[in-house]
Amino acid sequence: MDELREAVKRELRRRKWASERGKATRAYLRSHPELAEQFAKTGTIEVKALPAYVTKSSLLLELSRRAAAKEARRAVREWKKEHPEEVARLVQEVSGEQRVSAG
Amino acid sequence: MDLIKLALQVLSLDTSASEVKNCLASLSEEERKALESEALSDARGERIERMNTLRALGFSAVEVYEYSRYKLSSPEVKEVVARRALLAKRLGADAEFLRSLQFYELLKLEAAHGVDKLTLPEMLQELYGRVT
Repeated sequence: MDELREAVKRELRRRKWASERGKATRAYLRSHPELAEQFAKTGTIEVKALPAYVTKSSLLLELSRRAAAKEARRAVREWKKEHPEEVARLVQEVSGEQRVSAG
Repeated sequence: MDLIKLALQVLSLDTSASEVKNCLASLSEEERKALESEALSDARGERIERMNTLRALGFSAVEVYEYSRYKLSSPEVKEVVARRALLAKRLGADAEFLRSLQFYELLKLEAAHGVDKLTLPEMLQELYGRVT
């Protein structure tokens, strides 16, 4: 039972740190928009003094996640433009509505 | 480094071996401090290392993010690395060009060049044929 309690405590602590790190990382990126440009151009970033919880890895992971999400959205948009009939079919299948969206 | 040579290095990774160099033990105190100040010494640093390798192999942002979750030595990653390297070979393209494309375009290119239908041994045969 003690082991389980310890494991739960560890997991809660890990989640708390992850949450703090996520918040701090996103806040840092908001105040340093030039990092996103730098990452888009070079695939990496140059950082020096970082605030608590923020690491170069956490910044790179967040920037990579954003780049991936952006690319996925763009790909879906293009696929929808190229396959309007398939989109209409899927929309109908999912919601029962007859609707074509290409944007 | 040449994309195909790098791909072959990844493809030759032993699935039972640790892929990330355990270099911390061999570092001097100064080097370790420098690494810590870069804040890349945490566990996520390994994933960043994989991301850099995948980027150098011409993967798009989506692919880099998704495949970096897995070890480079895993069969799934090896298969996509081989596919991408073979596409580069057939197109005569470099990593920079491939990286500039979206994964959707890359998938279409792979289909157009018949790379998506090949098995891993078939791809390896064609890839190794180039460098020898």
